[in-house]
Amino acid sequence: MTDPQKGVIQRVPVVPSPIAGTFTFPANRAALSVPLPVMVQRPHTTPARVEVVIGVSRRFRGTGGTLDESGKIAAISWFDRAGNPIVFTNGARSLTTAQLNAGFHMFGESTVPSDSVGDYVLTLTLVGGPDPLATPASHADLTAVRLTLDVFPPGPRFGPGVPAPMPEPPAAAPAPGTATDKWFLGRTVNVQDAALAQERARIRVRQVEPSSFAGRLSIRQRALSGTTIGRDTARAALFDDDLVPPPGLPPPAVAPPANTNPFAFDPPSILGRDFFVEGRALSAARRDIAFQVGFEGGEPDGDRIAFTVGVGCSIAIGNPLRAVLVKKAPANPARQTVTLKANVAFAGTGSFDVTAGNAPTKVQFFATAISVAALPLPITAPGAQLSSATGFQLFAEGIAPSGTVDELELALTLADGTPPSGVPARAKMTAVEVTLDVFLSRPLAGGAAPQMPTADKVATGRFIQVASPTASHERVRLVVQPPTPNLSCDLMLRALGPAPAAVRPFTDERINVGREVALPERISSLAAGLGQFDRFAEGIRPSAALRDTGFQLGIDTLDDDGDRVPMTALEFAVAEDDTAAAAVLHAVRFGLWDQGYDAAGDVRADFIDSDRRRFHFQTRGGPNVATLSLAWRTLRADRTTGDDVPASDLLTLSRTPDGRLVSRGVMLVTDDIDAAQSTQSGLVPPLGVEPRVRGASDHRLRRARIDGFVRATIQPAAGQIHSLTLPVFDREVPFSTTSTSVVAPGVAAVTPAAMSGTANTGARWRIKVGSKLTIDSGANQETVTVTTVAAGSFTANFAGAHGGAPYPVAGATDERRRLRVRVVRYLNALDFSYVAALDGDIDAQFAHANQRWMPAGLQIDRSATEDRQIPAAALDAGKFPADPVNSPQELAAYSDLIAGSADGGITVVFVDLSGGANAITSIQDVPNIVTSAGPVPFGDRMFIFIAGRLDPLDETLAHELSHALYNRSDAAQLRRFFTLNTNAPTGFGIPLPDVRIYRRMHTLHGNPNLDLNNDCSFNWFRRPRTIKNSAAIGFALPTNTTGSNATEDF
Amino acid sequence: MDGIEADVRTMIGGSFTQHSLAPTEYEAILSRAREKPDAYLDVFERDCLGVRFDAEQHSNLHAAVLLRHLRDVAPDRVRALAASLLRQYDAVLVIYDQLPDKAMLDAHLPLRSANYLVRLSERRRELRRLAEEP
Repeated sequence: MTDPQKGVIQRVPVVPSPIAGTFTFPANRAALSVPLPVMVQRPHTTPARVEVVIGVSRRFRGTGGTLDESGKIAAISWFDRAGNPIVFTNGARSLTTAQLNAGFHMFGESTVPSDSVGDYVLTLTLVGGPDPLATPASHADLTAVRLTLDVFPPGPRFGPGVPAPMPEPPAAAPAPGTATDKWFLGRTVNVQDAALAQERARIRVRQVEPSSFAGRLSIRQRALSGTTIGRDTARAALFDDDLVPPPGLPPPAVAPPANTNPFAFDPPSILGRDFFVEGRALSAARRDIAFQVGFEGGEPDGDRIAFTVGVGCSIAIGNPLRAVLVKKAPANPARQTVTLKANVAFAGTGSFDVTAGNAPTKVQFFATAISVAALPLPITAPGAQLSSATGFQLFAEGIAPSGTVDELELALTLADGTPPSGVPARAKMTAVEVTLDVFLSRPLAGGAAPQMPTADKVATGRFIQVASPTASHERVRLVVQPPTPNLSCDLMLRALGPAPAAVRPFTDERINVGREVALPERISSLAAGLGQFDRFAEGIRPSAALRDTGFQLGIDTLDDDGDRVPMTALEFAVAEDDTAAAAVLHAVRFGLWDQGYDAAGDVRADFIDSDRRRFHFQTRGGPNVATLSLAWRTLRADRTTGDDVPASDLLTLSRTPDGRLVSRGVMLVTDDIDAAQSTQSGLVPPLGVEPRVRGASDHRLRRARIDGFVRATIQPAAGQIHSLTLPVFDREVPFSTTSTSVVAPGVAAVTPAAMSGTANTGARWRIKVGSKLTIDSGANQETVTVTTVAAGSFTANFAGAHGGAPYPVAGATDERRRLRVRVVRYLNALDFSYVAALDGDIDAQFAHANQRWMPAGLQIDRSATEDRQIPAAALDAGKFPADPVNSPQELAAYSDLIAGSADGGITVVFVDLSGGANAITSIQDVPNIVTSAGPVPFGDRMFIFIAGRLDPLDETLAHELSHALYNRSDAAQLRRFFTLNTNAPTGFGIPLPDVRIYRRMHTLHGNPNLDLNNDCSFNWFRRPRTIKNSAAIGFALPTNTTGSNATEDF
Repeated sequence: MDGIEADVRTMIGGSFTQHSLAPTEYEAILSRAREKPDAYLDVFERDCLGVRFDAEQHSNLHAAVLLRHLRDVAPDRVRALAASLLRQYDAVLVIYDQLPDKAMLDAHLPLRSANYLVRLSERRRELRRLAEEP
């Protein structure tokens, strides 16, 4: 039986472990078996060889081993400790057992990088012996790594002109002064200054070869002497960023600090990694700094570049656009300062030059802002001035525009020495030309306005018309051209001359379309390039001297005075007399001939010169000439078609002592008879045949129409046409009343103090539907359109509130009046001896009536002729008797006519009239008229019975209308008056027509031009009367019976 | 122009009516003329007859008005002047009188000329009526 306490010991033999080959890298203290990369050597670097020890894992008793190299065998070469090459025959080298047991040392170096990590493989195969051998055979995968450090010469980082890296150094040092590479020449960087004005040098660590290498890299600044690397130094500093951020990126809020030295980083991508080197302390000599790139914590000498920190300098151009305006008269832009500086004390000299873009000369430099002679290039600047606080100043003047922006290249090169000079300062500059074109007037025949020649623009300048009250003035076209070259900038359009400006620009040539542009106007050069910058200018007030205003085009932040258009603001106007104090007229009227006749009733030679409604053309601020010709004509209602355009429409403006050019008085008339009256030219001395007949120059009469216009043109200089168009009669006479009505925004009714009245001139006004009224004043003022009216109020849509205190209600009215007349022609089919009016008779009577009344501003509109059989009761011996008043025949006619004649209206009845009268008018009281419908009050009706077949030169209807419109009987009048004149025009012994007979209206009892109550007989037709019947005769003082209620708004 | 001349021109001018003149003015002129008919007729004869006769002017005047108002105070003179005027009117209107259809005038003459003949014919008719009245 077995003792359970006793065991059995069984000896089992131990199997020996296999022997393996080993690869040990002594330099890799952290992990001896991990291969170190082999740094590819360059001609100018000296990386250490990588040591590897080939051995076995324990004592080896075999016959030896074989070391094979495979993969990219060209990547690494091997040497023994003495530097002798270790040769692999056919990729293999035998190792003895002793070598293996002792460890075989090899030192690898490389001149060609691996294609991939570990692509160079060493394999150790052991052979023989009693011991088991490890399988597979041991191997080590090695990598030859090449690092490249580029450095860029000065130049832009982005866009065109980015420089290529400096060349790689040659194998041997080049002859002194001939090196161009990154090592033997190296890069110079300027010592940085407080203003950070010196650019940093860009260096780049390229992607590692092979790209799959993942080890971290290190860049290190070292002292350099010749080609010998010394200790770490801090003469320069390494940054991740440049001073100027990439385009589109803002500068960092806080400037990042310099990187440490050394600085480790992950291997760059395919783009490489840029660093920026800034000079911190001047070099003692050239090339006393090197930057090396290597492995973090390992071999440092993958590549090298040399650096010099030199004296910095700068070129500062006195404007942010770095531009200078091309100087072209009469503009006189200030010269732009160019300041040259060294950034440390510097005892040498600097040489300034324009190295590109200045052939032919685009810019010149002067010693002062006003000196005459330009300095020849290059310009030598003393170091003392360069390193002074103010630097060395030059003054640049543009001669011609650059071809492109930044075409001019300025350079400041310091003479080399100790300390070494830095990188020359370079600056880009642009000579830029701005152009403000001005155009002449549109030709009278039509078409586009031609551009004003530059020489004329300077010498003559442009006469610019002061805005006329009737908006008939020409606006001058200006074109803001894009700058040359098209520098990205803001152009500035300004007015020339003292403030407030005498000119103003608009967006459109058309007066009623254009929007005024505030000055100065800022115009993007891009927008100007699109051709959108036409401006159209007008004057605000006349110039005090030739070319004392105009426009100026400059560039914001550069200079206001790039180009000028000198202008003279010319006021072209019409005034009621030739004195300097005469107010400018907004409209013209027909002459009154109120001072036109002598005691014998003949026309005075100076009949125009004292007429109260003559007018004078005048200019203020015009050209400095003794006389100036003006052309004037009348236009029809379309404002275009000529009405009275005589063979010569010229009139002479003569210079006055106060500098104006003024015409003699001129006058409008209503027909060709008056227009044919000869006039004196009024020129002293006379310049031609006197008197002037119609069609001759300086004949001073024009025929016009009540709805027409007067147009005058002058040419103060060739091609500069100033026009003035004025309406015949003022169609915008201002009136005002007040109201206390409280109005809330929206539709509201207003009760004004009056719904109608009379303006100061005598023009009647009435608030009616469609009236545009200006309500209130100041900030509360608004313009409304009347939508409805009631007896004492009107309604409109208000934007604001009004009320609380009386506020003004203002509008404008047309001073012309209209008389609508019913026309009846009595016929008598039963009597062939009855003399009926012909259509031509009726037409002629109304044509003459209109011509006679037109000067007063009255247009007579007749109805179509209404033919009626004359009632038998209206006949006496076959005719209608003129007398007596209210005869049975007259009453019979009223009975026939009254139903069709509105109360207050005027009816003109053409009838075969007997009793020795050409016509009669019913101004006396008439009893109620008996009609078939019963009695009808005669009311305020007026009937004019007028014979047919009259000579229209007798002005019969015009005369009868004076009865109807004045409510007066005839009295003896001078022969020139057709109104209320007992004397027939025929019988004065003067063949008709004649300007002395039956053509005028009285201007008694006041000034017809300022006639608030229309007391002047000339304006009686405007007076509303309150009583019809009148015993008044002729032109005695007006009463409440004087006037008419028959006229209406025009 | 004296007062008589003015009155004569007013009376023959075509506006010597109670409508055109105030009644008092009308009566005043009439009264003055009737007080001095010869003086008024002298002026009329001097200015409107003889070598100063102007047919076109007469077509625009109303000579019969003056003569009618003075006929009863100067009948012989009025009759003689009327006869003289009629002869002169007849002389001017010879061709007109030969026209069988007076409407042809308007078709063939300018309006102003036709009207002149029509007016003068009417003035002659007024004179004849005056002359034929007892």
